[in-house]
Amino acid sequence: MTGALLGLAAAACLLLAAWGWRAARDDEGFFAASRSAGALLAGLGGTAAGLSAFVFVGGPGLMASLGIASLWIVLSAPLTGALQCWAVGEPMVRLARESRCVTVPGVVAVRFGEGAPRALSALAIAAGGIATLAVQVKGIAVLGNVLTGRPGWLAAGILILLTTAYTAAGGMRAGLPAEAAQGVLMALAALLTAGAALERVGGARAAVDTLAALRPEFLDPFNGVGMTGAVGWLLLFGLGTCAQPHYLQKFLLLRDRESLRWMPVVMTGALLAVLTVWLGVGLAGTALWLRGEFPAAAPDQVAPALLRTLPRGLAVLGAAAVGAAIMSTATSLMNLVAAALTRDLPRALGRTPHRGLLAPRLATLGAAGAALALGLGSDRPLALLGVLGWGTFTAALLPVVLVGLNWEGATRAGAVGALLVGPAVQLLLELAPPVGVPGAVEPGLTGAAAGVLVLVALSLGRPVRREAAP
Amino acid sequence: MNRALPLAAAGLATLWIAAALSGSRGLLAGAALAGLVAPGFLALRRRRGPRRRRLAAGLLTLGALPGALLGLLLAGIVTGGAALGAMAAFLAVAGAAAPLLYAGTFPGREDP
Repeated sequence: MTGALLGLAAAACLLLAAWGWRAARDDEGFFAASRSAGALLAGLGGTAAGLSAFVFVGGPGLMASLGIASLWIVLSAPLTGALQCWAVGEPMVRLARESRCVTVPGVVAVRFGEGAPRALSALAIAAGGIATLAVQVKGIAVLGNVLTGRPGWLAAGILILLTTAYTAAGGMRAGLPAEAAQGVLMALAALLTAGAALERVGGARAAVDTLAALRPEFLDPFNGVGMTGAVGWLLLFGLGTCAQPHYLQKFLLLRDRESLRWMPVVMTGALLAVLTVWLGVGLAGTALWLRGEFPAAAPDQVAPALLRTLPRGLAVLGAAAVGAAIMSTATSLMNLVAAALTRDLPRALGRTPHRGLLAPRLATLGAAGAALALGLGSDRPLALLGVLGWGTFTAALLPVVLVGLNWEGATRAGAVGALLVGPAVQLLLELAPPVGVPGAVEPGLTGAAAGVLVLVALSLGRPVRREAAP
Repeated sequence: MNRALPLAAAGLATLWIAAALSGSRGLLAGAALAGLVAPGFLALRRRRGPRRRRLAAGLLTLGALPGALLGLLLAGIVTGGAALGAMAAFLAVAGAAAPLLYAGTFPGREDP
């Protein structure tokens, strides 16, 4: 059955690639899905792209490792859909419709002028995008190895190859409907898998009783992360969603402003449905693992190990959902990296990008290759690699999109300063964490905070004027 | 408004850095609440009339949900299985309230 399903999925991907090759005729088609999306398509696509192996494998793994303290990462989920539209979506949709720009750095350039603002945001997207893509690769490798017993790189290679086929051929024109369908599959699979896992353990109450008896620290809301770390995660993943380019990109694909109205309903509904896997599988899986009902070499392997003990059909559905999560995130990120490298960086350097879609298609292949190399070669744990990608986007982009797009007084110098200082502070804190401070300094969020301070200070220090659009 | 937004943003950034460095529960709760709900107020400038009033009131009410959760958890009033229950309840209630507040106060044609 697995082989037949894989064959079916491969055929669907190739058909989509063939359709996308013809449908994506220009930049607007390749990077903005011809601005054809309504709330349902963009909301489902945004949620699918934003959720990844991090949720299906890293999340329950993190819960197995830290307990309910891991939930601080997802606790902001109910607010993020509305927050994104309130704070970032509305100004982005307005700027994109006025200027017809098709990339996130393009929006930054419309607001702050060409050159450095576009270049720095494109570099952040390219670097963070490759790191986040590598998480997807590592996720497939871990799961593929545990589920099939075959080398992880084989599963990673096959899935990334299929995703690259339709993403390189049709960009977001092919990627968006694929992401939306993958989002539906993920939500259904998450609900069913979480329900089955909780049923297997005897219900949520039985799982809590087991955990309270065998590992009471599991139920400590600050276990292993402390209060500062916990609240840091809450803020990083709450505010951070406003700076994730694979979410922001969806605002550029909308066909009209009215589509924004119901986007949070779609996004939040799909997001909470998928997050049941984190809660249900994390809770039930850890309880079953502690009871000795299945072996797992490490917390990251609890979810795939639990999946193998569920009915065959459910296990296949769960594995398909993980594949869908990885493919949807990879699609958006590959497209964003391709846009950054072939459209934004040349424009920022004063060059005219090559006409046609050959360069973006080749860049999509390059992004996939780089992610495979980094994901299969890196020893960093899955969850930490995910935080690194998320943190880079947050540190670099949050000040300019959250404050910069909403404040008319923000200046080009302020934006450039924020785009430089934010990631620099994040990188510094990642490489050399401060010692001897009572709290815990979260690098991405602290980088963003430093960026906001620089943006405000440099902007207030100069005459208030709006930068001219190019 | 021209100065209120940047000063509020800079205040929040400073509050977060102070909270992170000190580990103070009060500063942490303040930073989290302000960070999660305050950006919603950015949309007030793009609403007019009743929508504006409803959005402001809704955001203040919505802020009470994470406020209550953070207060209970950071103060250690709710622990163990009850902490898990409180987190799950927050996900469900806020997950229904926030998107509906957005849809119900979406800007009309007369709004900027």
